[in-house]
Amino acid sequence: MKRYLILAIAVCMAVCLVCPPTILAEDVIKIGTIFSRTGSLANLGLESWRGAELARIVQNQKGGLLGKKIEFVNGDAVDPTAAVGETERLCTVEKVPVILGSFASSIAFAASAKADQNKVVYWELGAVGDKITERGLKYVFRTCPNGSDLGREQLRFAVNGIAPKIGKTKETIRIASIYEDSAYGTPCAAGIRELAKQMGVQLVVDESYNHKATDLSSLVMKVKAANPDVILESSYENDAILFFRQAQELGLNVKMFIGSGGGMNLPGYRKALGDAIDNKVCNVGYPGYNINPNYAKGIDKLSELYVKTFQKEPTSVFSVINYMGTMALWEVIEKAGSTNPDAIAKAARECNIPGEATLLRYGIKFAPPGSPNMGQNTLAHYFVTQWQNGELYIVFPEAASSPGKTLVIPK
Amino acid sequence: MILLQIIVNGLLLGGIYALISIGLTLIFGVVRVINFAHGEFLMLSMYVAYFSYFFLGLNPYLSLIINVPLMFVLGVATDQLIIRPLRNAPSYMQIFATVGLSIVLLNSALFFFTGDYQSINMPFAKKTLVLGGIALSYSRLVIFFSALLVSIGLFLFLQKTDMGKQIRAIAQDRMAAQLMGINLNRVYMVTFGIGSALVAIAGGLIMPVYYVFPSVGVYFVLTAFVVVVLGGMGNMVGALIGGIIIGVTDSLSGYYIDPSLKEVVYFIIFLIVLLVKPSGLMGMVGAEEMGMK
Repeated sequence: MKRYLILAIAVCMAVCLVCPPTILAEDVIKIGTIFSRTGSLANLGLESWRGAELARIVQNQKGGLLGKKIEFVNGDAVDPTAAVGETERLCTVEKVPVILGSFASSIAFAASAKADQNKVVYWELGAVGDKITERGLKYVFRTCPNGSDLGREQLRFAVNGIAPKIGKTKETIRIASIYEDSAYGTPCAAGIRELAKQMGVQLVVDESYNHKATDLSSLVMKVKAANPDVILESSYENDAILFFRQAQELGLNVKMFIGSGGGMNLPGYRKALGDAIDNKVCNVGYPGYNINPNYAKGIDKLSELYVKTFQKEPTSVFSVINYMGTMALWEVIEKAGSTNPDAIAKAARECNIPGEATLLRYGIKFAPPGSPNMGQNTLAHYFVTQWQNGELYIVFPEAASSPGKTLVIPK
Repeated sequence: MILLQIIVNGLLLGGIYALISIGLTLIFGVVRVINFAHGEFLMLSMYVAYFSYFFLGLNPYLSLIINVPLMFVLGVATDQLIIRPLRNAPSYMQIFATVGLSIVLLNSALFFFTGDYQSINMPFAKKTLVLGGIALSYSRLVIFFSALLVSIGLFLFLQKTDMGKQIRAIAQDRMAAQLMGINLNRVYMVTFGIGSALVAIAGGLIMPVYYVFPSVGVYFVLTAFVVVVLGGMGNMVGALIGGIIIGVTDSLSGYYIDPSLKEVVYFIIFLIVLLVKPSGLMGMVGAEEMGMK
């Protein structure tokens, strides 16, 4: 008798353990996430995930999606291999219709291919590698701008932001482009070259260098000889410091250095060079919480929610862009009216979210099938920040400028 | 005018390469231990300079008083703990040992100091002297003249002092030197110590113009090996000339050819010199084989 009782209890417990999630599954929409939650990329990986998490909280407060609450199933991708394993798990075991990711390009590259193989939508929010959306994958979408957009934005800023303020036009401004010759700098420079041709702007220098170089004086001399007004620079941290120092030593004077993220927006860069870079160095990249609240409506509330949810101040700018992309996904799923991956992919291809409806005001419209960058948000663009008194403030587009800040051109 | 400035840049850069190579040429050329951890010694001495600035507020030039003895001790310890047991082993065993040491040092630095770039923002390092339109950075001038002084000083030390003579004797014929009563172990220990102390001078002096991170030595050490072989192994003046040749080539080819091709150019020069004069520019004929047995 006692044995039967124990058996009965065991069966009950087993049923209790197994059933609730399956019963609950009817009431929630499960969405997978792939971010580096541990390992060397965890700091920015988690920071990116927090943006998506805020979007989940905000949407659930509004009543969720299709009448159901949203729930995340979080995958931990330490490296590309782990990313593939975790994506496989999310697709086949957890059976999620959409996976969000993923900050690092190498991880996005591996995970998105796996998701596409399983016919699960991969929604990229922050990784910029051009190749991610250049493989003709039907289920891969990217809401943020890509790597070569960095270069295009550098040039656009030089021509539209700087030239009028220094009394030059796009015909007369002298622009130098220098870049480190690996996977980061090369696409940026290609973006610059391509747009320069379209705009009819001439580059007085277009040179690559090795970021491991122990000396950049010859590059400095080459740039100096061309006498540019601005330098578009795609550098990592060490080479950016070296170039700026040697430029100082050798008396290379320009109105502005325009970086493309990389190392030139890092605290270490400022620490090494001190106030010499204030008002002298601008950076193309993602905007942070100091964007003008009249431009990005609701950014102040988002910042409050961040602090309330995670009990700390944002450690970097990444949560904003991830929040915006995730909110766009909710809109697409609502339009699809179902959680079927094919329906979501179709709704994504057809969507045309206007700028005003998104936090960063650039809207969402994906490149259609057949185009070389299918699934890339063609409306996305970057913002430009400037180092002023040791802080990075948004200065371009002007309407987005951090409250009370404008672009400063040194005399 | 530009040409002149580029040559000056190259000379000053050559000073950096020479200063780093002098310690290596002593160990590599005279004692014939191929010290692959030389770059990591440079890295450590740069960290010593950085931390003495950060914690003690010491000017990197002043912190040489800590840096040089510290690296001397490290060199002596390396010799006694790692090289000594392999003294009579084939030279590739010593290579394995120093490569191992290099990996240990690099990864320990990564663990303890993190991979962040650390640098000293010193006002002096930004000052330049403008002479007839040519810009000369003060801190690079300091490096250049230190390289001159150190190589001359070391040359005199090897020629004139008793210890120097012992070092040269061992380099020429280890067996005969021992028969003459020279204490091999002591000489090796001191040489390794001096070689490491010299790299401390390099580390302390380049810290104001450069920055330190765990793999910084890897960037410099390859060039240093080229300089040593080009100049002639074990020859202090050769290291100076080799450093300057590489520096000027680097500077000229970076400007007139392409910044990303400058390594190609100086490696071609290096190959040509080795084909024509295998012992290096200043090396004695046959020096490349001497003592390797």
